[in-house]
Amino acid sequence: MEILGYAFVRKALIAGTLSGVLLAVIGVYVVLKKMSFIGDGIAHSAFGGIALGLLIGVNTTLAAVVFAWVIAMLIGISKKGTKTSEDALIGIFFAFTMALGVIFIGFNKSYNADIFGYLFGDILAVTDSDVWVLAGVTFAALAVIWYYFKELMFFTFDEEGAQVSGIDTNFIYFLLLTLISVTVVVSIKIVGIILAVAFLIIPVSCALLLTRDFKKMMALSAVISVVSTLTGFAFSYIFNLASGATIVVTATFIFAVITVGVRVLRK
Amino acid sequence: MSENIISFENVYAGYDGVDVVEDISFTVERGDYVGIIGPNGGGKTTVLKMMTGALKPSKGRVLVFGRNPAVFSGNERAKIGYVRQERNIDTAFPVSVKDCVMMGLFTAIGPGRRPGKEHEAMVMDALKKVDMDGEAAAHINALSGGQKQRVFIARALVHKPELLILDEPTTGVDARRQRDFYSLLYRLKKEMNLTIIMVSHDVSMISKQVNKVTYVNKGVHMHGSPEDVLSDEDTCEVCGMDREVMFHETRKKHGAHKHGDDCNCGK
Repeated sequence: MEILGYAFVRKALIAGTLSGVLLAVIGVYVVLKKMSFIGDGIAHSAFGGIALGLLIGVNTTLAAVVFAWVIAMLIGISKKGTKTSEDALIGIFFAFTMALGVIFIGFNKSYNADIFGYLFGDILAVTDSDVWVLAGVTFAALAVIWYYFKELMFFTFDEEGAQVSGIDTNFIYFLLLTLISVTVVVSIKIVGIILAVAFLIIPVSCALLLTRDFKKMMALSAVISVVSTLTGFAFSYIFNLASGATIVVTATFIFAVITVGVRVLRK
Repeated sequence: MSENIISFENVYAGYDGVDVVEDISFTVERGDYVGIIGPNGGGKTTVLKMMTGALKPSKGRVLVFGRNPAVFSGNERAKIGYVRQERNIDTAFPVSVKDCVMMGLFTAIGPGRRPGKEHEAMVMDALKKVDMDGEAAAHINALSGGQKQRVFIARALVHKPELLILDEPTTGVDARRQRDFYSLLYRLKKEMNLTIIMVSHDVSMISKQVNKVTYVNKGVHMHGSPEDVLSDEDTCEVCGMDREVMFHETRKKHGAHKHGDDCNCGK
């Protein structure tokens, strides 16, 4: 318990809890709407934004949010306006933004040790302002989800049915892309670009095995996500392991235990 | 004089700049029960999508209740109930029968508001109409194909529409359940004074149920009574779609189907 006396540990726990809840709740829509690859593409596009932010000397989170959001919108617009499949479009933008990031890093003459932290996450490096930004985004995202809860659910279940019944499905689609991009980017410091998508998917996949109720699934995903984050953080602290990777390994272990447990119980 | 509630005037429409249907003109009157038949890829679903406003024509004019359905307000949309092909809906989605039907009221309830007791009562009333009120708490995936379609009909009817549009509603449903399903539709039409438009491959059943048949194969080749459409030489082409049934039905009801020398139906 004495580790809670350290300010950086308390910040890490708060940030981990907030990002755990946020990623899990957004992840419900990502998994059920089968948008995992989009989530991955948006997370990777943040790399270009971070590299640009480091190059021109602006706040990297802000640069990454703008960059990832623009790319998310471009994916959405291209999907609706071209014959190219969504998968192919995401792959193209994914590679393009990563390549841009590498070029931006090449232009940057200063040492880029920070980049590794963005790729794989470093929960112990979370600052006060990171916690406030994360808290603000979590509150705003949950408020938007609460307001459009019905519309998001109908859109995720049956997009064409929702459109015919009068729901503005274009608006809901771009709203969801916005939520995914902002959520992923503000969580990057905790779990990193490469592992962020795991947190969109794993807790929801666990919850899907345990309940068939949409609201319960959302709550359960958030709980599993927070438990994975805090447990993973504890392991990373005790065994001096990389925090983001340990958190994801812990979440995957929980998923494996639930999968096996459910199978055994059903026999 | 009967009121036209749908009119297609020289309509062209398709996807990615390629027209799937060309120069379509026909009308549907209030109280009609219309069966839309035609080969796969002939444009049946495209015609339905224009009726619901989900697809805009590239040329010509579509009017539903005297207005362009693509710019319908929420109140105007409530006049249409739509049941799409069940195979296109992810029924593993974590949602109960009651919640699924409630989705039909989401536009009326509006963003930021939750369903009240009056909405719960409307849902139970709709489920009663399709004899599914006993399954309200069940998960949608626990139902048979025929039961799922009843639930989707309840969702389409919960806001008390005037026009019910169904896209191949009996695909994947066994023959006996199909008969029950058509009986249910006929009863609902009488009880709720509905106008029904249904795309189906089931020419045999359509000929017994509907008062108008529309044969769509890129254009509208025939639109009229089942007797006229299904016994006309021009619809010989339909035999390619369901040769045995067509031949049997037209013969049984209206005398032998007349085949020309250049008819390819093989009879």
